[in-house]
Amino acid sequence: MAIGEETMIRVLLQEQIPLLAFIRAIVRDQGMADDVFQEISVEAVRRRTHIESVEHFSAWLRRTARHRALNLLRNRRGGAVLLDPQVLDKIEAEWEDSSYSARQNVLAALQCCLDQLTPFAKRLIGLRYREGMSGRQMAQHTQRSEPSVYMALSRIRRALGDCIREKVTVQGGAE
Amino acid sequence: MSQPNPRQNGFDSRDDAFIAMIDRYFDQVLSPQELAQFNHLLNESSHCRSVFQMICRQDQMLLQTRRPERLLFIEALNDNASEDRDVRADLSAWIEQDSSILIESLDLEQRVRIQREADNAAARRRRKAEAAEHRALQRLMLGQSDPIKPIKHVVIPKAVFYGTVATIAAVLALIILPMFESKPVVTAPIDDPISAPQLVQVAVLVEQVDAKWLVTGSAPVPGSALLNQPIHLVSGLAKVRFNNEAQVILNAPCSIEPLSASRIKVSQGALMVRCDTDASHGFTVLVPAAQIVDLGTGFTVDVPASGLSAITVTEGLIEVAPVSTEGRLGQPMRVSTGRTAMVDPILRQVVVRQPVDVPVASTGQHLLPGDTDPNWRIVAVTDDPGFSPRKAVVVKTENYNYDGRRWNLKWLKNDPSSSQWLSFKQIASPIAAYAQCVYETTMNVPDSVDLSSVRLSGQFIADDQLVAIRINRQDVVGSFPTDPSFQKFQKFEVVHGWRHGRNTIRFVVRNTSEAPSPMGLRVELKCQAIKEIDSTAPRF
Repeated sequence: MAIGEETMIRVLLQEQIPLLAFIRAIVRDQGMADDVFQEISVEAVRRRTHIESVEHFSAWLRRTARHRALNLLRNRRGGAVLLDPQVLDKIEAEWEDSSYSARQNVLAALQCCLDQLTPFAKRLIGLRYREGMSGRQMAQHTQRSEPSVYMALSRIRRALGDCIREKVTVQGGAE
Repeated sequence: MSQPNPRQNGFDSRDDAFIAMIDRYFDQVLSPQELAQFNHLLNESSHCRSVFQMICRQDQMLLQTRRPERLLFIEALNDNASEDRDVRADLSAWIEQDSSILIESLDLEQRVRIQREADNAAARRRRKAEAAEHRALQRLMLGQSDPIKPIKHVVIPKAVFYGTVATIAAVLALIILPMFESKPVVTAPIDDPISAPQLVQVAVLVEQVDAKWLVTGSAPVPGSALLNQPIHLVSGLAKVRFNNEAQVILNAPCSIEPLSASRIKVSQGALMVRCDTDASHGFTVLVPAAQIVDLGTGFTVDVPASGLSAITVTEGLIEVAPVSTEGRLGQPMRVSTGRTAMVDPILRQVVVRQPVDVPVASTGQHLLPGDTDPNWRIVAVTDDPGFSPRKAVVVKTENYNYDGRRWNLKWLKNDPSSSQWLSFKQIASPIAAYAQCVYETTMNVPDSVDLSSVRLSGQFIADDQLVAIRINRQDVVGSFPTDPSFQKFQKFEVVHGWRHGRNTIRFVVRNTSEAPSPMGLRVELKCQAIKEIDSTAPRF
């Protein structure tokens, strides 16, 4: 029996961030990832009568996203696929789903954790994610060496990861 | 999963190098050897894959805060998305707040650095002066003077002496004269070459509204000279006049570099260009992968952080040419008023598009009361299982006989030139309490238009309530509040759900009263889409 349209949209909403992250991991570009996500969302609605369960749908989304992303890369000039097929197999199999409430918790935690960053860390995060700068551009902008910028970004993300995990764990414990 | 999970076990400083490698993978700066090592680590280590997944998700959440508008497609379909919007609204607020923190911290940092450099220079001068004074004092106290060296007499022929002096004078002239000439120039000539190494004034800031700048040195104010160096408008609006009289309005966030008195490079942002004078014609805008040359016009430029740049001609003519990675110009394309040139920075291709109207009918337009509307049908009524679809009829809203009485409906008066009320019959027929009625019209979307650009906008009045708009049998817009006066139009817009060819547009109207009452719908529609006119790929 096919899953309902409401269920399908709910799953699409839940899978939005993990699926976009999965697609971007392949195409390395947010605009292209958005396009692929849009395409497979439309495709999912079109094929909903063939999708039997939520589990089936989640797996179908990742598989379709991978194929669409690879096709898009191959059709673009200079769009090389940089990950080996066996690596893609493993990543696809291990990519985790997330529940809507879990995602909400993580987003809320991320907001708190960003507030706790030092001004310089905030500046780096702003340059990277708001301005869309590469490591090289950030290095020029901050007058630091490229390796030190990449290392600083790594530490900031590790700190954010620790902070988010701590907050989500505390929330989970409190509930 | 059996593999170690960073969300459970965490990752530590040993992972920093791998996270940096992930960032360099996304920036596409890994060497072939590093890429092979990256793939090897991902293939062999489940921990590395977990770190990779974690970082990708975290990046995605951070990126979502930058571009929330791209998610509307799914959210519009789901009522539960409102909570998600709230979360992102909070994050957007954080980003806004963070930008002010960013500016403040940068300003502070810059002031501290300038002050520190000035202090250091003053201290160096003071130490040097003190040391010289100290040495002079020592010599004076010790009664010492500089040792006298014996003079060694050398006889130099006159010809050699004069020749040497002339050569030295010529060399000094060659060295010193250009130094005087290379003093900072106040104003650049209009045809100043873009490769000019010195900083020159190329434009003037005319006015600004709530503008915050990221610049080297002090932030510009109206009347300030702008030099040929990168500037970043973080927020607000700014109007700039170039030395060739071209006027540019910047809309933040905007990163530009005025290259000369008639050229500007745009890395990101939206701007509006006016070249009203003869002197300003030929003004050139460089965007990623393309060059735009004004041929006497006004145009807008939108360069997003990623994706396609759009150049729309508001008046006149421009020339857009793709630029190769080596900087060579491709075949230029002329773009006229109302058309948009899209530049694909990856394909390095320019595509010219033009908005076109897609024909769609408003209710009862150019008809008389009692006429059947050839473009609108009523296809279903919930209280009548035997109902068969039929053409809708223009309703007479004023001064009509029904049930032996004269009636005037309190509906907004019909306007045949724009739209009129439709129902089953000329006299608005009542439908059962809480019953729903479905109106339908169709719209043909030509194959030549880009489906993602189809934008149906309109307004309606319904008696009693419009509960859904369906495109091709899918709900795309939810219910609207009831307007008991039936006098005011409510606006709506549909941007998705379209397909090439015939599309059905349905409006579901509900009787919200507890008793049978008249039912009617009045809709005004307009649809626009973007059609590709011409495109070129660079041939270098």
